[in-house]
Amino acid sequence: MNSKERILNTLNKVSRDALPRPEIELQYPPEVLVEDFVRIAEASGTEVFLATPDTVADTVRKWSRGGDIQSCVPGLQDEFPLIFDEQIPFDREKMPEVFVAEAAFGVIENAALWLTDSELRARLLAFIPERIVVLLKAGSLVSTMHQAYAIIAENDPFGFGLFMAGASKTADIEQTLVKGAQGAKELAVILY
Amino acid sequence: MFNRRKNKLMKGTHANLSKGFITGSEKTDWHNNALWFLRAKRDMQRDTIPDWEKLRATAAAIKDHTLSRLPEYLQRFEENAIKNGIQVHWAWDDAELREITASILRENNAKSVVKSKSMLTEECGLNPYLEKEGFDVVDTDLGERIVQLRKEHPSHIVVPAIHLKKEEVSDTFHEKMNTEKGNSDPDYLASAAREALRKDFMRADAAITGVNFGVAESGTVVVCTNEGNADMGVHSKKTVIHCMGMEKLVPGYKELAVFTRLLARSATGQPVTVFTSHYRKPRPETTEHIIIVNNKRTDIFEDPEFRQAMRCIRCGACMNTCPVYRRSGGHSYHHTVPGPIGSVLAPFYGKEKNKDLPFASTLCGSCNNVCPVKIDLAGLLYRWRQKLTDETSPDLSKKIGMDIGSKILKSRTTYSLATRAFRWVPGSVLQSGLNPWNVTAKNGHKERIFPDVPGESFREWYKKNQE
Repeated sequence: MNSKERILNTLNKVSRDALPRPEIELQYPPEVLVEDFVRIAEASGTEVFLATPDTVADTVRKWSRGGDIQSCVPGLQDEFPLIFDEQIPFDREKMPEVFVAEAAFGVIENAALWLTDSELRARLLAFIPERIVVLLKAGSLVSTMHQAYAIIAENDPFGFGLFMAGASKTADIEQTLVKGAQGAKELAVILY
Repeated sequence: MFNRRKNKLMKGTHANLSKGFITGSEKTDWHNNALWFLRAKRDMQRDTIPDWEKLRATAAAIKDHTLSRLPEYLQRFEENAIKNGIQVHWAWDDAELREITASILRENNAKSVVKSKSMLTEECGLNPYLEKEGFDVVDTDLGERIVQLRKEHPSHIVVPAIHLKKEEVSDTFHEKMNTEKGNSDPDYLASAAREALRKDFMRADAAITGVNFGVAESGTVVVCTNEGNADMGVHSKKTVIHCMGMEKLVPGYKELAVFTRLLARSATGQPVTVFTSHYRKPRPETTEHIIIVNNKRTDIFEDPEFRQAMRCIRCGACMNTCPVYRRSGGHSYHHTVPGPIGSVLAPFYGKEKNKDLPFASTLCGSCNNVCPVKIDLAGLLYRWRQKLTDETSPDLSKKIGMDIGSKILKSRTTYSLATRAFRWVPGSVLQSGLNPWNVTAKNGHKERIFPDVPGESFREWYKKNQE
């Protein structure tokens, strides 16, 4: 008997009642308020900018403070082409200083942004750049994780999916918050 | 190496091991406050959710449902993960997890590993084993890296280096990473660790992670971090291993929503961890593995009274709130997982050697009130006390004390004689170093001193004053 069989047999031998799958009936805030998203994002150390489709590129350029920008967002990739190579991920020449992606949607209760393979192009791009800008359509906000996972379950299955809710951080040294523990040191969200 | 560490873990009881920690009262207070800070942040997050209590009750019901159908969900999870292109292995115990991991690494010619936080691999002694087998293992969570460099164990399951002051971290980094001597600025130290770990990420051949949740319906593995360290390894290495305790399953995404709302709020008082990563399909040319681990979980499952302990999502809220944990530190619990939940789990890993842990609690029940999956921690600790008293060898000093105590208290005459005799012992003796229960701090301050003994008993006093 291999370990799988041994584990399953042992579990199956235990008498127990199969409990029904619980209904999840929790309160959702009735309105989707952009102000709440901005407040919670800022509390997590994320910079939030309000823009229009015409001013997005300008906002990115200003925030990048002259750093090398790379993007896989259709409207921006001509101006800021993606040269990052997943095969040589730590090559400094190809690593973007500022990476721009567009989130599929955002969650108000925790300011988390949903990004998958189709938004990122390379998975490591959500972690390895010095700074990250995420574009987010204000119309794509949902209030809680319940609605967020309902969208995820309806859409085509992803290969890799990520909720990003700020810059990489740690408080492992005496509970002092330090930004940029391993991944990006700064995160900005441009709502448009 | 492995044996030496293990021996160190087993030496002494909670009461003895906490002596050093509670004697330096400055550090005890500091530790107490650091943990209470997390508890207070948790409360602030709780207050932002109108139906928080219902959320907890739902989470508990989901876990109970999942456990009631655990074999089906485990098989479903495996089927879906295989469909997604991930290889699934099953480990009966700690030794099998270690062997499977080593053989995957060997098959893929991997010599060095970057590892993100996993209490499961800590429980299974994976690091010392891999090191003994010639692999190079680097823990990449900053807190875990700090304790790894110090050859210590995590003292908390979420904040592994919470027992250390920044000056101690500075000394360790100076010694191991050649940082500036005496510079204990957390920004400076964290940035030095970032630089060093980047090199480790570049050098490593394989990545190992723990697992926060396994989603049965989609075969997805979910890992939550604030640093992004799990992803730095997973997305840059060709060999990836996720080690998952078999209680980590949730049925579907609908249920996952409940837990991603609860985990970080309960753990550190954040609305969600910075990164909640969902691994479903490997990158091209990458081999990705999941090892489903039992290691005594079937024993817990078989016990209807204790099965609810398998609801645990390892958030650490019960430690942050526990007055005993806060003041005695994680290392005084000689088990991988400290605090209330650790003391509930520990006897399953050795009744005799862990029989003291359920007593390292005041049974105040604060842990019950913060547990996001509503485990009756205080109730289970109370149950263990009864069971362990029956099922393990008695602690001789405790037994003698109890026997004498019960003889004295049974009879009024003996009681009155004994207390009268006791009042004859001079105060200078009771309050001196001869009394082992007095505690003097390293700086000479008296921390706990036997109080002055009254000249007469209450009964004598009452009689006199009544007349």
